Amino acid sequence: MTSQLINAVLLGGYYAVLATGLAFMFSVMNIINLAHGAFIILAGFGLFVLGSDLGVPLPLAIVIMIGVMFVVGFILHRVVLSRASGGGELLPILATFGIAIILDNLMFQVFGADSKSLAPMVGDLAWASYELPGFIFIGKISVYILTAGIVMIGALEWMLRRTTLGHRIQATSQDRATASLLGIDTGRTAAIATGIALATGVVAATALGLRSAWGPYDGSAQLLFAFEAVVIGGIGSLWRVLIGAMILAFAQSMGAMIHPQGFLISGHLAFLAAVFVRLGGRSFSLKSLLAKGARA
Amino acid sequence: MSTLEVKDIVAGHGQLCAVHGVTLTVKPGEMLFVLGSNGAGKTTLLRSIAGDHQAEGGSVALSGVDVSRLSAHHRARSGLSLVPEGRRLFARMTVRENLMLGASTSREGPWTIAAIYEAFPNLAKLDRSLAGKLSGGEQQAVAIGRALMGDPMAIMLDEVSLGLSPAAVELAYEALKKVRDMGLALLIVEQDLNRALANADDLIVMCEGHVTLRTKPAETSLETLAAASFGHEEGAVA
Amino acid sequence: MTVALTVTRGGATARTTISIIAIAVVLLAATPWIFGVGGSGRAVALLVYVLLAVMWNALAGFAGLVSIGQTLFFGVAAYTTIRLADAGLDPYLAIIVSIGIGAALGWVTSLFMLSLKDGEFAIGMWVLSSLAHLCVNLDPLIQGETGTSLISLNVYSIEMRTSLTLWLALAVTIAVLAVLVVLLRSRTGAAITAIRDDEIGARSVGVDVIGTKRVVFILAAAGTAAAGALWLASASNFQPRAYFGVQWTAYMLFMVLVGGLGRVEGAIIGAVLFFVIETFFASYGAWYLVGLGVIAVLFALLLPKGLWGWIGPRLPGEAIPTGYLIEKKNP
Repeated sequence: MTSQLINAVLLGGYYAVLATGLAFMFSVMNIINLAHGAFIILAGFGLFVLGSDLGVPLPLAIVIMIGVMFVVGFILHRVVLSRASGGGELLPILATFGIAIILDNLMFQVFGADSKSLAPMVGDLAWASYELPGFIFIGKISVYILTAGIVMIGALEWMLRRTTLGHRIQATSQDRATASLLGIDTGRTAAIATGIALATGVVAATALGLRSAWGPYDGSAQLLFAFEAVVIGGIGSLWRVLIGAMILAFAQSMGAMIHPQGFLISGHLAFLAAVFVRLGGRSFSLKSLLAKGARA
Repeated sequence: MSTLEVKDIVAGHGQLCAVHGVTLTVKPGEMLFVLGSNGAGKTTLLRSIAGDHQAEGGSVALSGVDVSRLSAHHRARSGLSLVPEGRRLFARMTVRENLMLGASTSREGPWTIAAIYEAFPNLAKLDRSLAGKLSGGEQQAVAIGRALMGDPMAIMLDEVSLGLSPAAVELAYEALKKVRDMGLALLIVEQDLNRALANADDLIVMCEGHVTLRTKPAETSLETLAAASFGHEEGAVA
Repeated sequence: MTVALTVTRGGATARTTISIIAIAVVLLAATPWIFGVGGSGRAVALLVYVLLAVMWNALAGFAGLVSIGQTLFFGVAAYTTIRLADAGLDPYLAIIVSIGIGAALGWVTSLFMLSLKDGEFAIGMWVLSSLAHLCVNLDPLIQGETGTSLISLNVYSIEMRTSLTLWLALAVTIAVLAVLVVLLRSRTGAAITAIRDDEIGARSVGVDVIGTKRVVFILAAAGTAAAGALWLASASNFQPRAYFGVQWTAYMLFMVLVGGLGRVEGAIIGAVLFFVIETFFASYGAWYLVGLGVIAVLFALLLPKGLWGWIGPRLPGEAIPTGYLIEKKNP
């Protein structure tokens, strides 16, 4: 039981890493990036090419990819998202979904259907573990991932609350027109924020690649996990993402204990429960649901 | 040379034309008041000059430099500041953070946080308070301070006295007069005609997007201003 | 000086459009004799695309609800058709019942999903679709991704089967379109258009926003369910992934963005265009999907109102008469 508990916590750490970029973009720019998962997979392939084909050691590959994905995010905003935000709330959703389709299938064409993993790049670390009292073994990589998640969220929160760039990002998200009037280049600020969001995806890709493997079409699954973690955690600070990720992981682990297919199903049910609970704040009852013209 | 020169600004919202070719100039150390009833186009005019609203025609020059093609944040960096209607502070950030953001123009000048707190002594103790929790008068002070932090050459203020107690308005104008005396050009939209008469160097009245009257306080009266706001000849019955 | 105003609904463009549609319906109905069994199958595909496009457009373009999970209804209806047929119901009857089930599912879903905003609603629907997919996989009749077939269709000969499916598809599509157009011409339609143009403004004049959205949502659910059941009747094969897969959402997105968001004509044009492109390019596999995505994104950024958004205003009046034409006649 304990080991399942611990594994759930570690899984939560992984989901937190996955979800941070999505939450960051949403809280900062009010855009749900439906291509979030696809960009993580793209980063994964980038790491793979650097590591397996070019022989670059993983830490250096990560640094390089962070730079690359930052630039990709910056360009993504400049070229696509800034134009899409002007056209109402539908367009960013449609545009990012379209990009996800493009990326998924492009990656399939370029890299093929085979699963790739980053485990070969770290040698023995892939199965190294810590031993806890009571003959419990936990994977070192999972612990690193949880740590990375906490560090990433902490770093982003610190950046947002304590640095000039962070304040400008907050200003741009709270009141874009006024931010402009103060001399803030809101277009560039939003592009930088997008770059940061995509850069965090590199950490997620590393986590995914070290824990297991990925294929070109796995982006949607990652997006779904990330989104569920964000919704369960709620809006507010990025730390809520960590909470949401933990709850999701726990729900999934409990579901897995009930039925082999229960893993994913219970995660979805936890998401729906979170939606219900949030609606519950507005006098949720079957009667109010059925009443005509129920208030939004 | 004028600090702010606005020529023939035409601006609208969709099919509605709100500003029909307005021209005005403000010299350094001058306060120009723009008066008019609701819907006269004053806010649209100010936003168009600031670059926050896309004007359909006309030009804006700052100390002789044409800024008409620049976006809002570039105009701010060139020295043109707008304190928008309703103050629009970042409610979830502190007073200090709001002021620091005002310095985003990266301009050289005398204004620092310390200088702002000297000009608005009541703000000093609110340094770490959330901007959203302040009173109307305190918010107005922060908004003006935030604009000053950008070290502008010209400041435009939309509805200074709206929602403020008379004492707060008094304080605000005390500060604005000091700012004017430092050489800045001020363009102020006001509903309070008495305030305008008391503080203005020049007056403009707008009605339905047109300028109906240009005058100075000494040459006019409350009745004339009111009549021009509503588009009547003085003494005519509505 | 008095000015006479005449208010009409429809006009020359509308009459031309209705004529074109009537001719198309006759041709489609005659497909079994003109194009044989293969042609009937393609005709059903075209009708399914039209249904999907018009319904997704109604949801996104009119009610402002972008859903990435309409596959929920598409897949569930196909699944219930399989189940009902397995229980002994005539397959075509099973299809019709499944459309009703789709509408009911739409009603239930709307109770809690409509309170979600934009992106949350979009992905929330996708979560529901994934949940349904997982549950369907659990059914021993389906056996995970192995799937099964609508075996009871074999009662009919292949010519009979394809013709019946085609005529049912034609009837359903016409019915759904008719319901939508009637709805749009009614008071509810005015409410829908108001919501599309300015939701807050609509609410302020007393429009029941949630109730109106619910009507559109349920109609879209029923229409999408119909599409799924009909697709099953034509393909006969039910593999969950083929019905719940995200590629269907990609197709709906493409059709509506390219054809034109917010107008029924746009959706139909998008569907026809997609049908043509699919006929020629689907064999290119993943590159085909990349192409679809690129075109959709380009339209989203450069021509957000789609092709109909460009053609429509250039025609006098409306092609599908949902609004009012006011003419001023000077004496």
